Amino acid sequence: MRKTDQKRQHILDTAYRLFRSNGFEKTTMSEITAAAGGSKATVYNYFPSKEELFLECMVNITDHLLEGLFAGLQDPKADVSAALLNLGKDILRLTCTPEMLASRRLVIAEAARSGIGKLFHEKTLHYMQELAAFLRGAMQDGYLREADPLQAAYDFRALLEADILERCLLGATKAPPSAAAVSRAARNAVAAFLRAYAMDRTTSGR
Amino acid sequence: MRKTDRKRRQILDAAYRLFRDNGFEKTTMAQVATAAGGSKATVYNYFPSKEELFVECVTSLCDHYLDAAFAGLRNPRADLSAALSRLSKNTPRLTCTPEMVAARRLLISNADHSGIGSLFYGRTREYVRDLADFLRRAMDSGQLRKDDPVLAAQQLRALAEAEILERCLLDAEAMPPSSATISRTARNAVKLFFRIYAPLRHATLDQRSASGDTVPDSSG
Repeated sequence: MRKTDQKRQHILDTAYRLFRSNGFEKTTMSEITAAAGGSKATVYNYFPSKEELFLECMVNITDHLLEGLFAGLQDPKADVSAALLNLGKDILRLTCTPEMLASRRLVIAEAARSGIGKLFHEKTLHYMQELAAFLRGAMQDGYLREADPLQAAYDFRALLEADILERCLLGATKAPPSAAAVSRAARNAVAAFLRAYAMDRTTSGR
Repeated sequence: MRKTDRKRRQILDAAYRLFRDNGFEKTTMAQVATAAGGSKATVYNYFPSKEELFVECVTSLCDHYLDAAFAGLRNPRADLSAALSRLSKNTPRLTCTPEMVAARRLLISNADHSGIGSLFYGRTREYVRDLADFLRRAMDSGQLRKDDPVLAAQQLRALAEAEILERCLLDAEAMPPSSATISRTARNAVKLFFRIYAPLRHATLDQRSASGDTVPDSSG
């Protein structure tokens, strides 16, 4: 990591800690500067406003927590159902950690401020596109019926997170959910998804 | 309306306006009492805490908007596809209004240090139960494959709402979303739902019909 990248990351880590414990409103750039060690000018040099710093913090922690999510994705040819099950469990495990829930709550709370939510949505959209790319592969190989892969990605995620994520976000259940609860939710989602996107018998050559 | 119901309604209306204008944190029970024209004791008599008052405000808004769609589910002769389409459109129409999105943001952002999120989640289970009861009857009569009706209810709601609601929560979607967006999402949700829960006996036939334009859809 280059020195400027190190400095930037250090500011992000410090700011995240403060945002996480005090919220957006009560955290000031002066506090962040003091905690990070350095001048306000340095912080502003990297991040022109508190809003931008906050956004970068949230994208940064999301990327950090979701790191490697798609790296272990198996070739759909191996076994599309097993690949989806593993991916589904990984997604649920990562999105329902206390850390991830806390940052999601922070983003949602400040979403309407200076376009923070919208920008966050755009900057994390690539996760859905990566999921869509995997599903497109499975469609091309004839394991799933031809359909809009991005829509299919959203459908997979909706089925996966149905109830369990809402329960976690609203604090109606302990986070993280048990491994058994995660497995059950992933199994239910994959079974439903495979029925929803099964090859049409009339068009399937396989 | 009985007198106590009227008083309760007055408190809820006053509280709703205050929560909407000033947020949860800055609204006090004393303010609610004054605005509703009563004493703090009266307010506490109906609502044991500010948290419960807030959740009641939000859920009475839900009840108001969703009652008609859910009443359709209780009709034993209701057409399955029409009822599910209607519900799939009406749910995001309510949950994605600016008021409901603001309320949900508040519930979510306060969830880790107060019980309001959990309280709200508990209250909304009634809707899932109503939908599940409806789906159970459709499963019993062979219109849908036999499976866990509560899971099916949660899945239908997720398919109709998850993506659109997340965009709203992140302020990345118009509130309320356009009727074109809502209709497209609802059509997709109902279509997938029928694929997932097509009765097993007629699997081949149903899959064929579900793949074409003959999909039951009354979205108009």
